[in-house]
Amino acid sequence: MEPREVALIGRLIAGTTHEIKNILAIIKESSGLLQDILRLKKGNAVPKAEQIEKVTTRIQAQVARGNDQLAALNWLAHSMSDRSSSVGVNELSSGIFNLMQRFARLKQVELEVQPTDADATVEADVVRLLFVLVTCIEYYLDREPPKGRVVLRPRGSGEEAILGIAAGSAAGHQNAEKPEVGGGPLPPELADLEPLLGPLGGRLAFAEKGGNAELHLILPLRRDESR
Amino acid sequence: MNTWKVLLVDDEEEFVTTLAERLKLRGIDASIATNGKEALTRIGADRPHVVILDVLMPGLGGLAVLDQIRTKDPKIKVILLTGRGAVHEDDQRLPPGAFDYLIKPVNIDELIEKMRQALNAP
Repeated sequence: MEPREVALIGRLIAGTTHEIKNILAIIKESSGLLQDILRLKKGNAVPKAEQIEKVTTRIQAQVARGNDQLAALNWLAHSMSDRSSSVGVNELSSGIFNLMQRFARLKQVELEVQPTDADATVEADVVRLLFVLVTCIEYYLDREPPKGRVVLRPRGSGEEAILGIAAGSAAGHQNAEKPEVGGGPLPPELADLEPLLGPLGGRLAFAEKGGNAELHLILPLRRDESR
Repeated sequence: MNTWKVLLVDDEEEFVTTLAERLKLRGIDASIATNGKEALTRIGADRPHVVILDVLMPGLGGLAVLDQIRTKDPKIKVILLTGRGAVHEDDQRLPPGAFDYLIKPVNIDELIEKMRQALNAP
């Protein structure tokens, strides 16, 4: 692995474990509050059912949130142990979404995935793909103002899989006119990624149509998936 | 303890809301802020005795808030909350203006004892 890929994996793991720490802190305080409600009640006062319900619902929500984070870490671990493998673009997008939650939150930007109804599978070095995609998403996160939005749109198109990234007004609606490649040169930060994609048969390109601009990571479909 | 005024600052709203409820059950006047800007507004308005401050927050981060408290109202005691072992990126020392730090998830009795030490310190 390249040093910058190793560094990225470290950052993703650190971000996810930090989220899990926060989740555990909420669960700890919530369970402590339940104990307090039972022990610190005044006289013979009966704890209110709504209060107990509210706290237990909070605990359940945090457990679900923690589960998503652990699933993301597990997916990352398996991707690293089986680097050259097939991966669906929906699965790839979902994994990246969960791993980058903290990154987006610290930038105060909403990160969203719009999965495709017809999943497409690529055969690639998943860690390398992850590195390229995360770098592209961070490029947008760094440029979006607080309360902005970055959307990941995976889809199949003919013989190729496209992972589209859009931000701001271009993030728009899922049914907006699909952009077509031809939207201008890549900035230096993203052009640097092209040599990594060559061996995967992939490329990066800007696409634009009807006012909607997207960055496309384009990869060949797995051979038996060609349409 | 009845006269303590505490401000809890963390972008995890459910964490500070729940912790504030627990402190109130123990007779401590606890209020919350979920970002650095809100924290500074509340500090100016309410003048808490102690601020429990998360280090890593979106926007105005904990260390930037600490710096402003240290400059504008150095009598306010600040206890940092961190998810890591060290509170400072480069070394293990406490940043200027911080009384001490605690690692999440916190133990409420330890937190109250830390606040007691902070309020008794010169």
